[in-house]
Amino acid sequence: MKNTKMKAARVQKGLNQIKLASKVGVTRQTIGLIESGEYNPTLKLCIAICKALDKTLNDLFWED
Amino acid sequence: MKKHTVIDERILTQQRKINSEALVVLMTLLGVAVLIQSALLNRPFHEYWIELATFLITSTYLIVRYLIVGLNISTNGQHMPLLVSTVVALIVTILNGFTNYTRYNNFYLKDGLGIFVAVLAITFLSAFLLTYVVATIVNQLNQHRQAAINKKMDEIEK
Repeated sequence: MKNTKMKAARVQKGLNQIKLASKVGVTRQTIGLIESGEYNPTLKLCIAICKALDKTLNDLFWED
Repeated sequence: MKKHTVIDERILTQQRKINSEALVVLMTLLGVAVLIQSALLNRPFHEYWIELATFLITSTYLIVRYLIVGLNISTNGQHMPLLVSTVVALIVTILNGFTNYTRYNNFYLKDGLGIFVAVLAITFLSAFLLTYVVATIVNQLNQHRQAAINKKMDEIEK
């Protein structure tokens, strides 16, 4: 399932995939695959992404 | 009642780590076995070709899988072929020089070391060129694949 919340938060923060990847220390592909729902990140990476985007885990990774 | 199964991530991660370490051990042992048999024991090629073939096939498989999945093989881009081929050529030249001198030192001592140096130079150049061609092809395929992935990511990101 696509992670539209993460993509929206990233755009809202004014970051592209390359900049976010650089901030959290992964490749751009990894960010792209998380957003498209093709890769399931570890909790450690989820937390790093949340911190980079000033969001909580609930905001980005909790499915209603 | 349907049983709810969850994959134990810790076990899976550790299994993968162990398998990966086993591959490194196996490849190292294969490389060492080939080197010892060819350079130190002077065994004929037909006695160690299976180890060499296994080493080369496994290496090729790793490179092809990395390319297909899209993992970046080289982080230093265009310098990779030059670096790899220099290191490989140096190793091959040292090993070949050692083997050559052990086998034919009487000949070299009688006729002078000029031929020995020439053999080393030819060995270095041949090994360098061959590795450079292979490394350049792999590097180009890698760059091409990375560019294709980035293009796809750009389209998705828009």
